[in-house]
Amino acid sequence: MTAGLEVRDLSVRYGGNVAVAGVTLSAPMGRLTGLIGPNGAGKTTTFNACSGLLRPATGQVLLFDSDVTRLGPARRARRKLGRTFQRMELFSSMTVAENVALGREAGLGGSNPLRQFLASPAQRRAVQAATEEALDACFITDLAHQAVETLSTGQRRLVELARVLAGGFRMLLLDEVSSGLDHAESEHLGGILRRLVDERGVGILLVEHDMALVMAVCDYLYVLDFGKPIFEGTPPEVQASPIVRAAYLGSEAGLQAAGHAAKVV
Amino acid sequence: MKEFLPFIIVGTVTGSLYGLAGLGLVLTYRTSGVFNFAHGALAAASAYGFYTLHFNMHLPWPVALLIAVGVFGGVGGVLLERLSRGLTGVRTATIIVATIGLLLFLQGFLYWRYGLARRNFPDFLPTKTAFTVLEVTVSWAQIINVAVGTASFVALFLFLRRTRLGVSMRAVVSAPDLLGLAGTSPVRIRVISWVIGCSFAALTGILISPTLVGIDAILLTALVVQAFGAVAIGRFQSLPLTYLGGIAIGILAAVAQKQFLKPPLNGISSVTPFLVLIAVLLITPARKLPVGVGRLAGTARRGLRLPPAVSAGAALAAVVGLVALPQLVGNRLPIYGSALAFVVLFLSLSFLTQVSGQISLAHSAFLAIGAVTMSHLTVESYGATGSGNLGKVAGTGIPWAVALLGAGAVTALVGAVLALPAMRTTGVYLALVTFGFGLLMDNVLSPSGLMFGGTSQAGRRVLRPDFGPFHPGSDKSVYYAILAVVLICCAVLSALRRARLGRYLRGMADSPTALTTLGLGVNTTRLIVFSVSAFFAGIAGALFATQTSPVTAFSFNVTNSLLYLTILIVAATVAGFVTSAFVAAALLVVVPAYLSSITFEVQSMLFGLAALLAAVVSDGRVDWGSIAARFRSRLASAATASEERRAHGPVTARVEGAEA
Repeated sequence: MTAGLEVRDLSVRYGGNVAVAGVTLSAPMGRLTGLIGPNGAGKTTTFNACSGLLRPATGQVLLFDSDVTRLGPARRARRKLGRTFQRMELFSSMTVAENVALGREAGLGGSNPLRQFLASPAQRRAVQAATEEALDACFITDLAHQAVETLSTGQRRLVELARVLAGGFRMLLLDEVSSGLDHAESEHLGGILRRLVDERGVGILLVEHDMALVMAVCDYLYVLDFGKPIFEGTPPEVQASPIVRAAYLGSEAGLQAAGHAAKVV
Repeated sequence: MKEFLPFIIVGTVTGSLYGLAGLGLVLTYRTSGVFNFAHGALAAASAYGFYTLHFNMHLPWPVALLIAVGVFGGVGGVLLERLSRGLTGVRTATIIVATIGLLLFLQGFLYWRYGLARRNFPDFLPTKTAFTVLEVTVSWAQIINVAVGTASFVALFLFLRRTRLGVSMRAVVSAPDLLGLAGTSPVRIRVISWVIGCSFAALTGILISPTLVGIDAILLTALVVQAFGAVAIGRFQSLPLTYLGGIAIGILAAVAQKQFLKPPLNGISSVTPFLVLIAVLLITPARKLPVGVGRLAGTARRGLRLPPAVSAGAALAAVVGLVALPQLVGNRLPIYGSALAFVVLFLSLSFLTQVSGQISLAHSAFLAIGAVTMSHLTVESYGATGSGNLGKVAGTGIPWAVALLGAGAVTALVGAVLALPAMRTTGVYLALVTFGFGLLMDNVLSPSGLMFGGTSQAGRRVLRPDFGPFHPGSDKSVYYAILAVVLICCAVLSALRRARLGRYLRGMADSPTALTTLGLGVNTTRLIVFSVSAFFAGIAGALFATQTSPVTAFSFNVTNSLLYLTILIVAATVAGFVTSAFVAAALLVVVPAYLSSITFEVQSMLFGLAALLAAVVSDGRVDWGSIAARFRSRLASAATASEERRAHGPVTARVEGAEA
């Protein structure tokens, strides 16, 4: 498997608090890698450090075998690392199509200020094509001209996903994509993610609370608790692990139910 | 050291009062999330109230003081709490404009009621010497001022730490909903904190007035604005640091006054707090500062989508009207020339605030820089100042249009500098930094020889353009030259708004984080939008100076920036990008020229109030699209109903009868 995103011995501090300590993980291309753990385990913090929104205290972030630890979020994005947000960051004054189109166009501004003023006709056509394809891949073409404000949470999640797809990113960090979705919508989403990985060969790192979805679609899982890695393995191994069960104590029923759901799927 | 002592003492006294005002500001900002730009105006109003009660109505000063603080602290506090609650969840820019509207309203009211002249405000506290340190006398009044400041600080500090109410007040800051669940009303707590905060402002206004050489509304407002520096030192949250910061700023300003005696540097003293504020905001990471209640993101607003043919027709009619205007208005033509210059200013401000969600309280500074650059580029020397209009001025030979572009370019460079704070901060903090820049301009740069200093009373002149078939330098020639530039500016900015840059700016207004993680370096975008906006503001200044030459610093006062923003917000509430600029310019320039009762102070009051209402009622935006949609659907349902009535006449009639 080709290298996608690699995190080595990552630690992040907020003031005196250590949010993440010594996390090492690897999310290669063509694989759906899951990052799970109870609330406050440091999953989103890890994401923020990977995408460059946070400066890690120690450790390295490698993207396609090159060290990007010192690069800002925009430059990482231009190296084909895309992400979504747990608390969605949509362009709330725009339509669905405009949101998705900006997913592509944002990367075209580049570092030359003059390119931020106007789009060339060729670029305009490329943006148009990418938008249509991404809308189609997420099955939201019929919502294209609606204002994102008017959409349900589930639909908004799909818009955010389509936006990151339109951007042509090769490595995707998806934060809680299924939260707010109902069961059918989640399953549908799982299908989209699986196809992305299997057919286009992108790499995905997924943070997710919906265990049924995680167990059904992920190839490999990392488990965090209190900012520290506690386990890694395939979904069946994770389900069997007593350490993971202990971490999820109180939601053990949830994990069992998830296991059941996974078998059904 | 000894030579500094008198300044240190005076500085401590005024500084303690800045600290007092600052405490009130921090308290209300932290409990409500609304940063009150009108804090100083409230102090001014209270000082004038005290003036009337004590010096005109001859009430004893303790009674007058109690009434003034009671009215402006108590009633003002309750009203401001209502206002701040009305502002929950609206855009940050709207919140800023709301309190600026209040500031303008109070200031306009004070000018209207008390006149423009400075009033002597005698000492009302005993000024007898209390003691002498190293030959410097300290008066009882000075001691009382510091004592009141310190006592208020200690009392507030203990109140917040030790009393039940104080603890709930601190809880409001961190978790208002939780407090509500626990049975304590967050509203009641907020009312109390607003009352305390406003009382501190009112008290400051009264105590600081005798230390001044006469009071006037703008001066007082600006003085208490000095508290912003204190608040910045306290990082908008710490009460002890705010109070000590106030004293530090008072001393710094007093010492600066001693050190810098000659113009233009003698203005440094009055902008010391803002230099501190700018420094603090540039150093402090954004996440260490408290967040207000404002929402960053914009909301979808469907403008009234007219059919293209209709809007093109309307635009054409407007252009024809503007071209025909000189035939209709006779010798009032220069009014329209200035109004057109302001159309460009409002477009540039709108591009920055309405499209990209940034904020600038420095646009009158941009206007001034454009005007002065234009003057430098077109006028070689003034020669003898004669009574003739332009005969004595020697031109540089640079064509007017080229000079215009030069004026825009120079202003754009200054705008680029202001983009630096925009990269570090947003919302209310950016507003404060730009306001500080405006004050710096007024007090230090504007009086310098490079700008308005050194020129005689006549001010700076600009050579008039020769345009078209008109008599060179005539009013018509100027008008049509300006009109041509304005139409080009409208076209260029509208095009940019629709182009990639416009999409980036809208995206940045909604979510800079998302835009960054999608690959756009938004700092470059911020640099671009500030430069573009300043470029057009500079053009506006050059046009304005061409029309009204000679121009003086008076036209570019920092308060004007506040007025421009409020008028724009009022206009933008009801109209789109280009239309709102024309509406705003008409409201600012044309209407007062025809209605002599609309003086500067009445204008300030009206727009202040209008901005306040626009903010509270509609978040500064009327959604014509949805109103039209509602109207259409009502029409449609009425149509179907009437059809049904025709089809099933008796049944509907019976239903209607039942309803009646």
